[in-house]
Amino acid sequence: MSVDTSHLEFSDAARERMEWLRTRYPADHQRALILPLLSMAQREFGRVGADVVHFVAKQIPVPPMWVEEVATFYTMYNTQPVGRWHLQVCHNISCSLMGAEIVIDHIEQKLGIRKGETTPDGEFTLIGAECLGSCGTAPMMQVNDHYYENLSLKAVDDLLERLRAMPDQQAKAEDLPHGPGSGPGRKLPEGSASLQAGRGVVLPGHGDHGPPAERPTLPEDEQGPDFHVRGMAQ
Amino acid sequence: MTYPVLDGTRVLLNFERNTDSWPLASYESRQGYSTARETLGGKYSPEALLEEVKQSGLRGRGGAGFPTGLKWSFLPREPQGPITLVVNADESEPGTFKDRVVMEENPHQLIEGCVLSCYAMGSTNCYIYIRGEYVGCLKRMHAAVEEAYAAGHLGKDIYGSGFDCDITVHAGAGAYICGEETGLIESLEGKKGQPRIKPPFPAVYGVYGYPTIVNNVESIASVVYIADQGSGITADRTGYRRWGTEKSAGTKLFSVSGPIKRPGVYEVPMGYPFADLLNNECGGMLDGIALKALIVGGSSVPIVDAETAMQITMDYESCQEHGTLLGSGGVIVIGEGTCMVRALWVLLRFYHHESCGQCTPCREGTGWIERIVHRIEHGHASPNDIDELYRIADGMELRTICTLADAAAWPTKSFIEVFRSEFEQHIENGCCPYDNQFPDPLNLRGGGVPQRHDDPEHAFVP
Repeated sequence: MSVDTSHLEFSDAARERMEWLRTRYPADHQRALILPLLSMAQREFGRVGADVVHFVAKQIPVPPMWVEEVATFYTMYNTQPVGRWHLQVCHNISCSLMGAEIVIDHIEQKLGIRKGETTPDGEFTLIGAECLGSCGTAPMMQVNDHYYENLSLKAVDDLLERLRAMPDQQAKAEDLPHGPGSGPGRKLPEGSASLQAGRGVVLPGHGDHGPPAERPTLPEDEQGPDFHVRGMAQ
Repeated sequence: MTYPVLDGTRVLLNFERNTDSWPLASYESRQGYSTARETLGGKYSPEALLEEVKQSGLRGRGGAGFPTGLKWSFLPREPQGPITLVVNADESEPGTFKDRVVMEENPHQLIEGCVLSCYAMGSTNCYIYIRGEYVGCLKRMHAAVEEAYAAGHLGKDIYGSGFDCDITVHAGAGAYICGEETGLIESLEGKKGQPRIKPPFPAVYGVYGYPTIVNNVESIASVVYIADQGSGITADRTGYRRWGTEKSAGTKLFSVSGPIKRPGVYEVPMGYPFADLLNNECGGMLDGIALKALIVGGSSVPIVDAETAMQITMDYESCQEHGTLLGSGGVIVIGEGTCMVRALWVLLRFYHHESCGQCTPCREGTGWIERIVHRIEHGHASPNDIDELYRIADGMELRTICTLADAAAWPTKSFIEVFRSEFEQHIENGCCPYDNQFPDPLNLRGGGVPQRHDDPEHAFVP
């Protein structure tokens, strides 16, 4: 194999999750692990390059081509580097009817980039995303894993400022949505985030149903997204 | 079991919706899992439960509306390999966000529905395939499944009945096509989500080649009510069939979006008039905006004008009578002042982006019609482009493995049929009469902030 993957290694939590995943699919159909493992790898290594593809292929193991075709088929795998914050503004019909194009124009002007581009400092990548299932709270955008709904232009300004100021965060495998903290009958790793949460993690804009006097566009917690930020790895 | 609200009852959103509605304790406090316990305890044999679901008239809630019980009965009597249930939670149809509400606010009903469905079809293994973007749902479902395992609602020998059921939550990675059942199966197997040629249908050859049933989240969650209250086929109609019409039984979740006062997810009985849904549940259009058109079942169904929209009742028959389809229940309300050519272009950009590339009419056609509509929108088209557009869309229909090409062709044809004058105006003027932009109903440019109206009487969006 010509691609060097020696610099890549899953964290302990990710490896544990991988072993758990192996038990959830038939032994002769471990190919099913490709999607979850690629997602995990992207969170761990920042993006899905050729090295990551070969790395994932080796873990399962399957031919790298099988992984490659999956990595390039699905939109959530970043085969190209993206900024620290991946701004995915929904521009499908429901959001467009409520002003998504205005939001996109605003961000383009503010950051000086067009859709599909990354700011020179590597902070933000802006893309127009297809329907993210948040049509009733349009306009909206997904930033890395987080949904920000009911956007106004002021809310966008505030958010960009806060994101810029926010420190980069390490990938936390406990927070990966690709496996529970515990499999059935398995002991939970101590201090795992999914354990602490106990009742899952309520994402801002995702479960906070208190009747808002004013539109709660931004989450209250200054911690921001509670898990990993895609970095510009390598 | 009581279901407050809306003529006294609900099937899926039968609780006060708030952040605390999802954990196991909350679900159990409203008699959650009592149905599974009774059923596994001998209330129904698997055959009897399957028959009950068949009799209930429940139709697949993902869009196609295929009778759920009938689908289950296609499973071979002597299956080659274990039967697998796959719950389709790859909700990506533009305008649809109902399953998200079920998974975030009532995940245990879905899990209970999985247990009951597996029991009825003789399966012990279930995958819930959730689209990767729904990180909130993924975390919720993982947490709920964990809770259910810990409490003995899942796993080996549930309630001492000898029945085993395992659920695995599987995340997608961003592909609309994986909402198609065989595309989803391919994806679940770790491949590109390219739909398979049918037959063989998944009931015979599905995940890993095993007999497989793929059902929508809402369908599976509804099974809990059907098992609990019965199909309602009896004369007194106390069960599921107490709502709806002959061919559209029960209740349905509608996710309503667009320039309306209270966008959100609402559970109403089938046959509920659209006018009432709009004016009562949704609080009507935003002030100063009139209804222009309606997409009733997610972006793939034909569009109808305002006049027709007001005559529609929300059921399969009425929608078909009025030239559209109920689809997934993703109701997109379009206000006056919206450029229909631009709206169509936005949809076609989506279908072009999401075509899996397997069949030529779809791979080439979606891009082709997108380019033509883009040309019309920007005033560069010639007069015969409209007919050309219609012809190409017509040529894409029913000529591909899955229905994505149809889903692009139907809106295209219906937009032309209903709003042809607008297309012509674009071409005659050589420019877009709406200045190449959508209206700004929220006045975002003027510093406007979207209002969210939470009404405890009604369902609302997360």
